[in-house]
Amino acid sequence: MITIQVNGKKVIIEHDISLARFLSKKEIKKESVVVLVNEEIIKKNIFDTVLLKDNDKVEILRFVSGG
Amino acid sequence: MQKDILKIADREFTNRLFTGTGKFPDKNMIPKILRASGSQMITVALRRVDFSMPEENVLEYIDKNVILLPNTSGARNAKEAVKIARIAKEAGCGNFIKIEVIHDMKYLLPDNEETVKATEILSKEGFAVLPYVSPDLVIAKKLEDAGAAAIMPLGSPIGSNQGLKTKSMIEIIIENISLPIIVDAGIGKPSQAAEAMEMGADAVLVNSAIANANDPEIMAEAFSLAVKAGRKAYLAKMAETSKYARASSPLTGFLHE
Repeated sequence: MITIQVNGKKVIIEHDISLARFLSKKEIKKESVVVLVNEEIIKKNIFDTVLLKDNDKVEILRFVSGG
Repeated sequence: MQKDILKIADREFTNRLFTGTGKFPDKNMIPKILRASGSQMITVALRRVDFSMPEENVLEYIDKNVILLPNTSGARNAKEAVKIARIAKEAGCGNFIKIEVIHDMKYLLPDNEETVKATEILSKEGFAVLPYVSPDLVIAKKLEDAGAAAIMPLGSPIGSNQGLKTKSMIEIIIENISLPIIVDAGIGKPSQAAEAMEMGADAVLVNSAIANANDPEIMAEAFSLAVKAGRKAYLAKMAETSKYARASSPLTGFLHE
């Protein structure tokens, strides 16, 4: 198990889990979000290949209503 | 009559009322508002996903032909605004960005200096930058030099519905800056939108006044009509005002003569 930070909160996850799998476990469609890992924007086409590591800081963002 | 087109960066608009997606009690209202207003550009914001209360994706409610104008709300300085803009672009929402740098939480007035900095950086990166600023000619000139695609001066504080409190300052910008000028924030009534258009604004952006109306759909239509009326009046060039009366009927041939 490893600990990562997701949107500012600590989360414990399995070792070697891909970003794509993490999102699907959280029931988040990848089309609707933008993800940053350690401040880097991750392109959607490599979500499958990005493995989350201990202490990674993950930001999962989406478009919301706003003026 | 030639078609009246507003060009911002590489996009052309035939409708001069832009809208926002904020404050609607129900997102199903958004497509209705877009239809009623005829708006061709709408703002959205970028936020962290809240896992305890997953919000629906607002983009699903916006017709694909409508241009998205992500804002950088939440940014307190140029650096944060630039970061949000880059993320929004990566999200595949095109290259339009409304720069909004705010750290005054009472009046939500923008930080003009930081906005200029962000505009300079993002314009160079190929963004069509629409900076939201307090109306100031010197800042507007700096934004023009920095490569802004349009300038969005505020009429009065965001969501205040106070109308064009900054009217004279916006007029100075309109007169001296060749970029499109979009009056954003504070417009509370259709008559105020018409007033902005009559004085030569190229477009207006209205969110709260529509979203908070008792019937947002009808209000969207009312704003659309007002913007069209104001624009036509501007193009038609208004008749002069005078201190004393000028008779509309002939002053000769009266019955008592």
